Amino acid sequence: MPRSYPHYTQCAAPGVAHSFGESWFGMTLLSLVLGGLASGGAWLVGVIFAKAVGLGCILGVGALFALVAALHRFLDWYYNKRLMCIKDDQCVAGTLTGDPVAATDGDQKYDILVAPFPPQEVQTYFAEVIQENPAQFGAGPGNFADPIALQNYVEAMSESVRNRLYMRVVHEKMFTQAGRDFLKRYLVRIKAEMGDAAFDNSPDDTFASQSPNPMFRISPADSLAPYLHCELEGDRLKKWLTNVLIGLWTAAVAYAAACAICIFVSGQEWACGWIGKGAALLLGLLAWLLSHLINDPDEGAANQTDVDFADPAFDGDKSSIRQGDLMLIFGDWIKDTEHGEYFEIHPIKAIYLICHSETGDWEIVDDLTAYPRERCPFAVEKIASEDMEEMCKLATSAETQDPTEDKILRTTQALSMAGGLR
Amino acid sequence: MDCCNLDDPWFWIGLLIALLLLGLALLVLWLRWRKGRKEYEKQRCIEIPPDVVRRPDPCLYSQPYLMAKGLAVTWDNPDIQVTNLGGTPVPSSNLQPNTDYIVAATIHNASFDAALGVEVRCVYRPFSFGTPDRVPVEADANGNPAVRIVHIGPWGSAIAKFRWRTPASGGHFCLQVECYHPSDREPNNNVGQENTDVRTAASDVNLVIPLFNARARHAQAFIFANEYTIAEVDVRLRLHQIRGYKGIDRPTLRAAAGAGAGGSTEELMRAAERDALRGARIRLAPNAGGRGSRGVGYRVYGYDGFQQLSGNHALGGFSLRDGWTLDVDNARRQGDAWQLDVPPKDSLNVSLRLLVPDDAPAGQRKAVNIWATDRFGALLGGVTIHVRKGP
Repeated sequence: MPRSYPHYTQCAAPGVAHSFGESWFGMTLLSLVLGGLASGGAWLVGVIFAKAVGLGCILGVGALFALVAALHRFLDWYYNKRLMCIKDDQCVAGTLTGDPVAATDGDQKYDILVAPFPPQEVQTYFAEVIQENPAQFGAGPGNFADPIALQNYVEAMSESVRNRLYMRVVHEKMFTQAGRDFLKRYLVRIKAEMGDAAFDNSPDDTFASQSPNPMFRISPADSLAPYLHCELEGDRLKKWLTNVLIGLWTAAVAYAAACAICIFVSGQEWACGWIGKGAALLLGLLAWLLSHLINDPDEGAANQTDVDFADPAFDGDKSSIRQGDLMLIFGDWIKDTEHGEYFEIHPIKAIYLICHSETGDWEIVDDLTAYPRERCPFAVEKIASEDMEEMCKLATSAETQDPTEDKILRTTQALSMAGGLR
Repeated sequence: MDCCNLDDPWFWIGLLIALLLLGLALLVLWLRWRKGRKEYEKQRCIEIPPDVVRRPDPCLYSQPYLMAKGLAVTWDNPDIQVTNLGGTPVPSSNLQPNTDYIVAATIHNASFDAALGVEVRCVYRPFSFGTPDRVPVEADANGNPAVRIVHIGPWGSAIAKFRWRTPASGGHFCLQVECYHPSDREPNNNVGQENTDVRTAASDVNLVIPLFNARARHAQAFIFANEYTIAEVDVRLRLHQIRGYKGIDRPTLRAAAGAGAGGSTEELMRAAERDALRGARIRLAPNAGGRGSRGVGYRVYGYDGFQQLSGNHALGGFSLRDGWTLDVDNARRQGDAWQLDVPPKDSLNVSLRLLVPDDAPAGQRKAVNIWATDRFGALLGGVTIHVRKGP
C-alpha cells in the first residue's frame, strides 16, 4: 500500500499533452456538435409524437448541453492533458526563494533554487554578468552590492533581455563549475536526462534560438534566482467546476423535461420555451447551491490541513517553512503546457526539511551548552553530488516502498528507537 | 379541477416556486444538522499540509529518555563505541592519556520518513553527576565542536565518527553524543552518554563522584543503584493500523478498546487520541496514484513493540541482589534512594560505597548502575561500574 498524498492531475505523454490554445477549436466544435445533436433530438421527439416544439426549447436544450460538453472537455484537459510527463518520483534539493503561495486553482507553490547554490552567491553572478556584458545589459545599478538596486534594475529590463541575462547566469556561471552541476537537468534541457520525446516536445532553451524559452521561472521582484517551480496539489478549481457542471446538468435536464411536460400538457410553444428557461434557472441554481455547500471549493486549497483532527497521525503540530529554508522535495517532474511551458515538480509528494533559514525572526543569544549550535551546519553549498544521490535514494525508498509488516530488531536497536514504537 | 388548471402556465410556475421553497427549507435543516457534526476545522493560513511534510526521528540510546519512559538504563551505551585508530574497540574505562582514539556514534532513525542532514556532535565531560562542563572531543579551527552530517533511511542507522585525543592529564571521562534535526518528531531521545568504570574488589568499592547544582536555588538529589544490563534478544515489531477515535462510541469498538460501560464518549476519544499519538506513524493509501479526494481514503499505521520493551526492562525490576548494597555518606535513606541536599550553584563530592558481601564467590561479576536524579525525577547523570569480586 503506497504512501498517501493528494493527487488530482494526471500527466499525459509527450505528444499527447497540449496547451489550451491547441485544443480550444476542437473543443468548441465538439461542444457545438453535441449541442446540435441535443437540439435535433428535441425536435425529433416532437416529430415522433406529432407535437410542435418551439424554437425556444430546441435552442435552449442545445445550448445547455453544448455548455455541459464544453465544461467536461475543459475539465478533462485541465486535469489530464495539460501536464506533460517527464519522470515520476524525482528529488530536488534547494533553497526556498519565496514564501509559498496559494494559487487560485487550489495548488500551493514552492519556488526552489537548486543546490548547491545559495541565493547570495547567485545574486553575485547577476552583477558579474551585467558588468561583463554592458552592451547587452546596460551599465547596471549604481551600486552592484545593493541587492534591492540590482533586483530593481533586472526587473526593469524587457522580458527578452531579462531571459538572456538569466540564461547567461545559468549557462555561464552556475553550471560551469566542476562538481556543482548535479541538478543542472532542472534548469537546462538535457536530452539524456529528460528522454527524447520530452526533449522534442519542449521549447528550445539555447542561445541559438531567436526567442529562447528557459525551463526555469523567474521573479526578480522576489529574488534574483532562476528557480524550479514545485506545486503541491489542491482541487479548488476541480470542486468549483464540478459544482458548476452539476448545476448545468440539472438545468439542461430540467429544461428538457419542463419543455416536454409543457408541450404535452398545454401545447403552447411560446410559453414552453419560457417555462423551460425558468425551470432550468431555478433548478440549476438550486443544484449548484446544494453542490457548492456540500462540496465547498475552499476546502480544496492545498495550503490547508488536509487531514482530520481525528487522524491518528496528526498531532496538531503544524509545520511551516519560510523563505531561505533548505529542503528536499520529492514528486513528479513534468512540463506545464501553459504558463510559458515551464518545467515543474508537480505534484509534490513529500517535503523533507533539511535546514531552517538563517534569516529567521529569532536567534540564540545565550546557549547554556557553551557551544551554540549553528543554525544550519548542513548549508546548501555543502551539499555534494554524493549527498544528493544518497538523500534521494533514501527519500525514494521511504516514499515508494511499503513498510515491512514484521520487523525484527535486536534489543539494543529497539531501545535506541523506543521513541518510534507503540 | 378548479384548483389546478394544467393548461395555465402560472400553475407550473407556482409549482416550481413551491418546490424551490421546499428544497431551500430542507437545505437549511440539513446544513444545521451537518454543522453540529463537524469534526474538525480548517486552518486559514499558509502551512505545509501534514500529509506531505516528513518528520524523521534521529535518535540514539538515550538514558534520560528511556528513564523518563520508565525503563532501566545502562551507561555502557551500545551506540557509543571507542576504538583505537586501527578500529579495535577499547573500553571507555581504559583510555590512555594523550592518545588518539575514534569515537563512533551510531545514530538511528525511529521513523517511517528518511532523516536527511542529521547533525551529530560529541563532547566529553568530567566524571560527575550534572556537571555543566562539556568539551568537544574534536574541534574545528575556531574551537567549536566538530559536526558530522549523516543521512538515515527509515528505521535505519548511520555511524558518525570523531577523532579524540584524550587529555594529557588523564582522568575518567564521560562521553556524550547528541544529534539534531529541524523536523525531529521526538527531540527528547537525542542525547546519549557512555560512562563506565571497571573495578576489582575484595570487599567494598569506594567511589567519589562530584554532584553539581547549576541552579540558583537549593536542590535535592536522589541516588539510586541497580544491576540492569541489556539482554540481547530479538524484539519483534508488527505493523498495525491505528484507528484513532473515529467510531469509538460504537459498542464493538468500545469493547475492542477495553473500555468499560462507564467511560463517556469524550473520555474515550481523548484516550484514543493519546494512544494514537504514541510512536511513529505513517499514512498509506490503497490508490497507487495518490488520493484524489482530500482528507479521506487513507489509513494510519505504526509499529508495536514498546510494550515488550517496557515489560522486559522496567526500571523497578533490577534491584541489587545477592547481598550487594550501596551506601552513601552523609545522605538520608528515602525508600530505594539516598537523598542529598546541594546548595545553590555549588557542588558536593559524594562518597559512595558499594558493599560486596564477604560470601560472594570470587570472580563474581556485576555491572552496577549508579545514577542521580533531581526531586522531579529528571536524570542528573549516571555511571555503570563493572565490578569483579577479587580473591
